[in-house]
Amino acid sequence: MYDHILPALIIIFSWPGIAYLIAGTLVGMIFGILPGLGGAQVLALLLPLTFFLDHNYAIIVLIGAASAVPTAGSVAGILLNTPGTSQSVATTFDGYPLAQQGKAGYAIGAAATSSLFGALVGAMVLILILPLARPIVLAFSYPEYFMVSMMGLCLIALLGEGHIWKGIMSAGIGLMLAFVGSDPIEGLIRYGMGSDYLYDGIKLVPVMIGMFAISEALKLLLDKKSVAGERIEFGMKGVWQGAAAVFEHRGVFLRGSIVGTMIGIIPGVGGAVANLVAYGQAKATAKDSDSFGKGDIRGVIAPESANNAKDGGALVPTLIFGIPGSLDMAILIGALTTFGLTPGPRLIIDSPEIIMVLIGTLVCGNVIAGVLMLFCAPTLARITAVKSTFIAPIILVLALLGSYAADGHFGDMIVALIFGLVGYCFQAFGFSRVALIIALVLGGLIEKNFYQNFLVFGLEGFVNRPIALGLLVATVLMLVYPLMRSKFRGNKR
Amino acid sequence: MTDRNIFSVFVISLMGAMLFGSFNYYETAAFGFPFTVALIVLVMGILLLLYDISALRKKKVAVGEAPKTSNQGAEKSPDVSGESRKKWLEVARIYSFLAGFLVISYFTSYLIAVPVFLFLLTYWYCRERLLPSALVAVVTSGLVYLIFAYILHLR
Repeated sequence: MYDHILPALIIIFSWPGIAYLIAGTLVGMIFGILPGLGGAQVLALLLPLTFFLDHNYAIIVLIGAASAVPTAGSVAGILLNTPGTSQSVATTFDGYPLAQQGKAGYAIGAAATSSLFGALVGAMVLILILPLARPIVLAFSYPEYFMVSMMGLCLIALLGEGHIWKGIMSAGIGLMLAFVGSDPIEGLIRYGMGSDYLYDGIKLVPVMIGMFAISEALKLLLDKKSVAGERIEFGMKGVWQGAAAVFEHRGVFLRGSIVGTMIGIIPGVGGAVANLVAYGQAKATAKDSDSFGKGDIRGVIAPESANNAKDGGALVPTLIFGIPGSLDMAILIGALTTFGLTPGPRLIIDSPEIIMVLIGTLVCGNVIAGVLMLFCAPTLARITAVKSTFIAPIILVLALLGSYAADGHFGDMIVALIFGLVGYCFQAFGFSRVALIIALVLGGLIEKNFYQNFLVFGLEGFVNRPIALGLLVATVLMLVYPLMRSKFRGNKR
Repeated sequence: MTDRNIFSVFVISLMGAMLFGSFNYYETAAFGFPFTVALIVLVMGILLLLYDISALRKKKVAVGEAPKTSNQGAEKSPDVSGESRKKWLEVARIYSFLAGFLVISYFTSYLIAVPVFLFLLTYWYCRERLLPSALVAVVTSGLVYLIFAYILHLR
């Protein structure tokens, strides 16, 4: 596995790899800084543009962009009290008070440095865990893959955005959409409605573009306001003291990074939770916690290290089992699938060099984003002054053309528009867009593994193989536990 | 009927139709996966709708208002007639622009549709000034031409 590190670095740092990395990182930073737009939107918009690239370069562009988003997301949070992404919410608690005290540079320096090193910790954990993946993968067969896919789906429905009930419904709707088209066993066309377009099923790219890019653009258009709302005067004073503060509070940084990595490993939980949990943990363990919320630099270091470390953690289930650890990872799985690479167990065994390109890009993207943040934060922050009434129409155009570019099929634009409205409704009514997308990604896999298990092991395959049985019990417990807990609490009252 | 309930009815109808459709291959394909999932989501959707309706009625009774019958509600429900209706009208307006974009793209070319759509949406819908709107349309169209037509050879 480790033999592939050097060739991967050569791909990243040779021409044009390095150009794609810098371009992806810059685009990711712009999306990270703009409130309301984040990793999912940038990945959905960039994905169709990468279809014409070699798969290694496509991974470099996508991961470079995704890795820069949480780093840049803290800029708007610190300067405007408006987090660029949901992953930077907790950063505003102390970042903005620091900016109000004239210490914005200090806060941004600490945020950039802790983001950079947090990502390194996450990537290191991932690299250490990966060699263990081979024996795990070899111990898995159809029933285990089926159960692990089901478990991932249940976790995402339970822990993702919105209410649990609606999360499960969203996953169900996603599964039903995955069943459209040719059935994987007999090739029978399901829900085709006599249209050739639906023979291959509902395509992932236009659905993702609609659910994330178009629905967010709709929201921005309906808000019709300037992203920043106020003019920011910002100097670079104190940036390097901020960077030094991370080393001064290395305990806070390390705990934040570990919390972020661990939360990243759990599918569906995401950076927003990592950010908030790390902040809470730093506050709870501080002896002088009264200063938190009033401009304590530890309140910036802990959440920022966590939200970047979680990317390394999220790659663990993504790469080992093909279960997306976060929304960004779900889109990444979709991207890899379009390049003919099946994410999950076989990828580690068959194409370890791709895994190393992915991890290398994650690290390098974070380093570039961190360094750019330290030097160019004031310039980048000016992007927030652009009105959403100019940004949203551009996003709509790029989203529609991007969905068309994927296959050159006009129907894809219509699908993207339909799912833009669905995504907007999902947001408005508390359904989970993440659960729908992940179910759409996993639907075929779940169905295929269930059928293959039935042929090879029979239905008893789920109960007479210890790992499958363990996963089945864990899944049932996960589904039952929240209901039992709420009932127990109700009885207590 | 609130907009949330209308969406629930849409989900229920969709799942009902998919459940009905699944009978065509229930015996032969995939061991009834579509049947099972559609049935679960359908039941969950109906329960959600019933819960939302009862919660809304309780809320109205709680503020001293008599619960409305279903045929009275649609026109006067505060959720649909107030802010919510305005919001959905705005969404419909944006979608009419997007539909226009698709029509122009289909009958002419996206190279024509992009500047027209951008200019009209920013100037007409977003009520921005003429010059910035034209500038955004021209610059973005140039960028789109460079990426999609020149680099990606999209026609």
